[in-house]
Amino acid sequence: MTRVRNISLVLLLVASFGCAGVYRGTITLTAAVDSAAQEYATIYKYKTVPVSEETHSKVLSAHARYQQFAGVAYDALLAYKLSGDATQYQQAFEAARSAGLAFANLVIPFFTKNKAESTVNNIMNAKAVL
Amino acid sequence: MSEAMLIALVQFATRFGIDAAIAFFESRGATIDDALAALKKAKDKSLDQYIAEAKPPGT
Repeated sequence: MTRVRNISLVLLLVASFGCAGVYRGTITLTAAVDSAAQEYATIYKYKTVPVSEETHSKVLSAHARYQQFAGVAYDALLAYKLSGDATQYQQAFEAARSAGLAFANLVIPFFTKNKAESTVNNIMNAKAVL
Repeated sequence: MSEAMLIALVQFATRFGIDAAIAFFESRGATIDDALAALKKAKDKSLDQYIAEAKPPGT
């Protein structure tokens, strides 16, 4: 009975959100990476989990790359707003998503299991739907 | 938020984690300007800034 209720709720969620929030993917991606960056920053700053300088250097580079692609996506979305051509934005979004996932893959080994799973799930499920 | 939505949020959070649930629900009805603001923050905020702003765990 509980399983039926859970399935019903999932179906309700899918039905409710299937056509809502066309920019949901962008918000989901940036929120997931932002949350992962905050989590990693706390771990690194307060040394709650040891992070080698070599690993930290790789994390910094991966995050800088994500910033770069987020910038490209920003420009492309701005162009879409002005022109209505979504092609470039969808490509730029995918590049930002890949860069965000690369960053997340470097930092999630320091996270709890639940936090690691939610971070990856959010990034994997983020889609550029326009 | 209605009772049904609150239940759905709790169920979603149980299954996917609270961060996922918050991001999912907050992004409902997002506009292009919301997406632009999110991307602007993403491109402008470095990891060094996150580290500088990080609060001690549990605060």
